[in-house]
Amino acid sequence: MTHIRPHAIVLDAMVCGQPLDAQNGASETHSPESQAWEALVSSPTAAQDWHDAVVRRQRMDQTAMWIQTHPWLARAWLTIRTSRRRRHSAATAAVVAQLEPLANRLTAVLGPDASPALHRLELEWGAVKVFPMNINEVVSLSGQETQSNFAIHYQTATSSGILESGRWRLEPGDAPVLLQVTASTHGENVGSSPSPGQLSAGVLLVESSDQRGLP
Amino acid sequence: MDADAEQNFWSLIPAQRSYLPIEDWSLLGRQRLVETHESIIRLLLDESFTLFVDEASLSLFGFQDVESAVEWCLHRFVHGELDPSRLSAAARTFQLFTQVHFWLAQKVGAAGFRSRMRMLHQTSASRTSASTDPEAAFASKTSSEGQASQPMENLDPSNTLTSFQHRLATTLASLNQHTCADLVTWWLEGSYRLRRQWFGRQNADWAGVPEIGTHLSKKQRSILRHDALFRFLCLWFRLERNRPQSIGLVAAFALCFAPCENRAPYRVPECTVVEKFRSLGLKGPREIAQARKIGMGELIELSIGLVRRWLVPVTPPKGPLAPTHPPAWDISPELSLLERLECSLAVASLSPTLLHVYSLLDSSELSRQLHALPSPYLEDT
Repeated sequence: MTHIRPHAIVLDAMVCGQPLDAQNGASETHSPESQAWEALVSSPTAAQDWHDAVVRRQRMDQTAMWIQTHPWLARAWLTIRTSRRRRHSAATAAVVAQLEPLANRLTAVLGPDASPALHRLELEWGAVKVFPMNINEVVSLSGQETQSNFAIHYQTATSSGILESGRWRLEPGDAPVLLQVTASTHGENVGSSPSPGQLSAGVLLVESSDQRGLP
Repeated sequence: MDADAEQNFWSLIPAQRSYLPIEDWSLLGRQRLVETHESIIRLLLDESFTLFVDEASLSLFGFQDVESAVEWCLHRFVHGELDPSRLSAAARTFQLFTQVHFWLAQKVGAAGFRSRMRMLHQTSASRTSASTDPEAAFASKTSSEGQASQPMENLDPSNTLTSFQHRLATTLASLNQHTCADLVTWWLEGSYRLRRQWFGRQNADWAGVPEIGTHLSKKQRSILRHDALFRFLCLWFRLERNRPQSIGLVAAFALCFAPCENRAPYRVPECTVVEKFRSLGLKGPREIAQARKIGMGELIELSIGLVRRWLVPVTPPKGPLAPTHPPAWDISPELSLLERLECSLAVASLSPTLLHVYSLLDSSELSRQLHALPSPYLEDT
């Protein structure tokens, strides 16, 4: 027997509850959606495939909520997104964001946290990655040995500038905070905001306790 | 962060879909919308194409890369013919810019979209019609129990299985519409052994057992699986189409078979339907919750009644080693293949765990009836 695994595009339509063909005026009989439901019930990987699709949609919806609420974030995010395409660079930014040990010490005292352990994140050129944090936790950005020339800018709803220390403590009311890493060479002056077209990577700091959305 | 942690993070975020509405669908209105919100719209399109479509899929639809796809979508939105009356309510919002399937179908038309999606389906060839022959599964069961061999179907077994598969698919889509996406996950996980029995017996692809939601305890996962199995069964029996005969059933249908937030316990909160139930004599959330509980019990009883037609009584074993709750019923050997498939689905969905799921532990009669049902599994796994 041949197992068919529905494609992510069709699965997303199913998760959204959107009849694919209804939007395009065709009959729903033999639609990709109905075929995909049949494929799903007879597939050994169906539970994981469907779960992955649900998570992708939640990620898309949540990202959209942040973007809609904060147009400044949309503009900065788009700049980061397009920077990689202009430079055709490798994906890995060789920069990691990680929570400073305070969080681990607290965890040791209070017991395991029910929230997922997201303590370390590898940045990627042309992408913005989401980093959930608790208030008063500190994230630090550091480069790997071979590629440590980069500048970091921060941006919030009310302020922006250079983050020379590479560390950010999340204070109440801060989130979302965008830390934008731009590749630089020795001797290059770092401006108060990233230059358009510079190869960039981003990390979006959000409050773990308020993952539902932003004000 | 590793992939599992990232997935857990996103899966723990409650679904929130308050997308901005698109109110003016005239050409001018759409043009203004893009002028006002260009960064947002462009980024939503960019993110969704990046998330859902790989390079091979993009080229199949005639796009060079994500950037060219985004440009095409923007142009189409501003200059194309779009009829909002043919869009769902959700699609008449900014969510439209995250619906890759919509834009791809716009690009190549419905027929072109269908044919391309067929090409994109990942197929993994595996073995044999014999391994998926449900008759073989049942024959194996009965011979091992020393019973007479089964009467062969007049129908082609593979046609029977196909029609059963089709009904499973439509019921699962209905579960998604009547509840939320996560219950579909729990049904797919909870029905894994059954589906392996039906579609993948002796097939290596079905060797492992999936585990979703590893951040939850074993008990929590078990409760969610059994909840999903039972709600699916109610839709399979089309119980929601009958006129509710009691206030309990009204509450059960209104709360457990209506679109809800994609978050456990996967039902409509009682506090949101207080007004609706006031006219029925229920004063507040507590009374509505009590009615729901009674209603779920009634649905279990109704389902057991429907399953009985496929069962025959057995003499329970006696003596000191006899189980406390021995099954009083077995699956009838006279059933057609389709009936046996349905019966295995039904008895698997009517586990005594439902008493925990719906807080019905004080109902000794329901407990007795559920424990009296036979095992749905025809193979030792």
